[in-house]
Amino acid sequence: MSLADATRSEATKQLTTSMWWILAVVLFAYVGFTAAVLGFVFTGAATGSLPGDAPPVPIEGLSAVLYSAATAIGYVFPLLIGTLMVTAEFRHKTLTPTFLATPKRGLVLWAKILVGIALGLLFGVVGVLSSVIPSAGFLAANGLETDFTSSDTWALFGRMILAFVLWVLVGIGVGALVRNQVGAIVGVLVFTQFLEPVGRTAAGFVEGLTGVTRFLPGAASDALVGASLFSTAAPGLPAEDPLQWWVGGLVLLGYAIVLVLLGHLISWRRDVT
Amino acid sequence: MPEGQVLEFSGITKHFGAVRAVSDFAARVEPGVVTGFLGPNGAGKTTTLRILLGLVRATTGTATIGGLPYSSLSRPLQTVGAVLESSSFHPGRSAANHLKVYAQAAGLAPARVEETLGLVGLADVGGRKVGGFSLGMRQRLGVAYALLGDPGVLVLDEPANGLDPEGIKWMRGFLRHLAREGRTVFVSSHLLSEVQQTVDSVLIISQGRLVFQGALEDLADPSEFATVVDSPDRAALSAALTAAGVQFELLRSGFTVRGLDPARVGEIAASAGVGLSSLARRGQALEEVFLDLVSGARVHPTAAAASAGVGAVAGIAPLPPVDGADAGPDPAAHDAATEAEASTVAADLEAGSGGAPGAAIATGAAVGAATWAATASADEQDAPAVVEPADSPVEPAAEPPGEPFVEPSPTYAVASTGVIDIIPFAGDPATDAYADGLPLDADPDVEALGAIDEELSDVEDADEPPVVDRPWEKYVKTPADVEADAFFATFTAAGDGEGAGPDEDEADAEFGAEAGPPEESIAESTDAESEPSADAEPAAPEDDDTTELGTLADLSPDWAEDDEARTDAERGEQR
Repeated sequence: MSLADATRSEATKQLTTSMWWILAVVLFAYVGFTAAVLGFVFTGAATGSLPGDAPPVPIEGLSAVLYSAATAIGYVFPLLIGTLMVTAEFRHKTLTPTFLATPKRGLVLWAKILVGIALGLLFGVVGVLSSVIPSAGFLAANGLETDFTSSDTWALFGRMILAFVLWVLVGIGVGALVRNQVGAIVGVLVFTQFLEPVGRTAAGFVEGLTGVTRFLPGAASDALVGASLFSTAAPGLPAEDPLQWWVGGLVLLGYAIVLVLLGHLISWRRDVT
Repeated sequence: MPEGQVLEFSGITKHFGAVRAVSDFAARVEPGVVTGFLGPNGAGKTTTLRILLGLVRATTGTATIGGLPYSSLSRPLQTVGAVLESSSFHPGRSAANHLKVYAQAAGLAPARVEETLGLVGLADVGGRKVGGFSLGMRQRLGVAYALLGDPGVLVLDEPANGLDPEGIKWMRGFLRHLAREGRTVFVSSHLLSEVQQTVDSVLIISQGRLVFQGALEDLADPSEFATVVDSPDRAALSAALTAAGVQFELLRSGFTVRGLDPARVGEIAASAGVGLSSLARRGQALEEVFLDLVSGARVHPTAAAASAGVGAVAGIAPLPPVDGADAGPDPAAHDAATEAEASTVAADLEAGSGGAPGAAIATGAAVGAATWAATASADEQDAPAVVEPADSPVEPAAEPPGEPFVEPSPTYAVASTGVIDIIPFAGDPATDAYADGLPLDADPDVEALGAIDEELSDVEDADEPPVVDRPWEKYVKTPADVEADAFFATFTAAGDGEGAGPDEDEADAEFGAEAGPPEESIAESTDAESEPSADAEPAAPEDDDTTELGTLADLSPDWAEDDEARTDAERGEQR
């Protein structure tokens, strides 16, 4: 009963069910498809090959915007896998055998965090690949710069993978806090797919509100990555003044720490009945 | 071989909000024996076990394993194995992977997974997803989990739930085997009969309090026994007994002689030249004692400290606890039971005359009502203060419906209430009164034997008309009923060989090589049931443990009600 044992057990726990690879496949398909559509439209608009009066898209930084689609739209996947890592234990009552084997509950949570980091890295790589492959294809096909020779691009990839890892940790915190699997999934989807995007967009209309919304987790994640569809999606509106990338990373890490800590104190130590 | 550890509970109290699940529970569980942890549903068994295992935090008090709380064990799975619920699995994970997860968490060798799967007979299905497992297979997987670390202590919460008869038999042998190896085996159950043949000592918990702690033999008073004897020629037997100056009572199943051992009774019969069809010694029915303890009607010295509270909570009227065996049946109780019985009779009447299939259902409904009333009356018998004169006018309500069906024999009629089943033998006018469903005299000793009679009589009723004979069989069974049926079948089967030396070997064999096909146990159970009535030879008097035959009255508290309902139904039908 050590952290190493608990972590190995936790890794086996994740890899012996289908959830991780199903989510990875869906992540790849979803982000890949979106990146392909965006790549087609944006590269077309940038080169002026699209018919009609498409708004001009700056060629400068286009590759980064396309590549970062993985985090801009795909961050819900690491968030979900982190949430499910914890809620599945409540859902299937496996917390009982887990805590019997490892009565020190903090150890179990640490093991989940470590395995979560590993899964975050894996999902990050999958996410980066899923957005880069189609984007780079369209960029190259239109004779635009793929920027693979630039160290900035590789730093971007690194920050994207870091964002995936942090999102898994946020998910673990959410799962520990919410416990109910269905509630957690619905809550995560509603927040990430509806509340936050709408809030961030709406905040553009209100003076000074973007100063607050840029601290929302999705905004912090975008800041960390340093490029986002959101900065180009609504060109007419005053965009958020994004945080420094490292501040964004710290904010996201802060969410993860606070949620995991609260989950541990409020829910994880409760009676298992 | 891992060492068994002493489990110790001291002053455990647990509140869930306003609910007090466990109150000041203190007990000690020794290694080398199987200790049963009995109590009705909701008595606090699971909570207590979960406190022991560190899953639930006690409000006050401590539970230790070998002196240490669970969370301080350095190698928990290697020290304690626990089977808590049958649903702690991710359905998408294979059985082998499920075990692998926890083997890794406990730092165990991967080979242990296959070994334990083999031990519980799941070696062939280890690669299958648990979601496709039957309840019995899941229960076995739960046992495999408990055995992963080859622990010296085993804690099992209702392990027989969901097991088929074969599985129960296997489990029983398995637990005994583990205890013989010197391990501590602590197994909870709400069925006395389930553990009766397995455990060496018991803790009984009721309303969160310990009401008994000690050996199973100490549960029943050995001086309270009776000899049950029957003959094809009952008149001759009764004459012989009367001539010998022996006090006896006639039950449906035969004559009950109290305080006289079978050898003497047999001697009397032999000297009078009366052939016997059965002769057996019956100890005090453990189930009765169990129920009395649980309801607070009886207080055992091992838990005297807890007595006052239980009595107050359990009794319907807040009276000081009284000894159930000595409390005369309360008139009010008769009232209720008689009314209920009347309704059963009415329903049976329909069923008997019409013979329509639907009638059985009507009987079922009446049985339900009777059950309710009988339960109420059983409870009230411990509360002698309820007002109602002894000669209350209940006759009119109960009398007419049963009349045409009265058993013709003047000496052999069936009594009326759910609990009391004895009638005076002599052909005095009272007999007719009983047949009409009048209240019984308050015979103080009658109750203790009521259960015995129920057991025996249920076995004997095989030769009655099919439709009305077993109305409960037409009764729509709940899943719990079906499950309990399965339990009952095995207990009867295993009762055959249980309790004596040979059984030990049997248990070993089961442990090694998986019990035989289910048909085997079914066949055995049929044997056991038919024996008492079919054998014309006087049965050799068994030792004190005839109660271990595990017949109907040995069933769970849940079933006790059904039992009463059954006997009511039969009675109605016999008149």
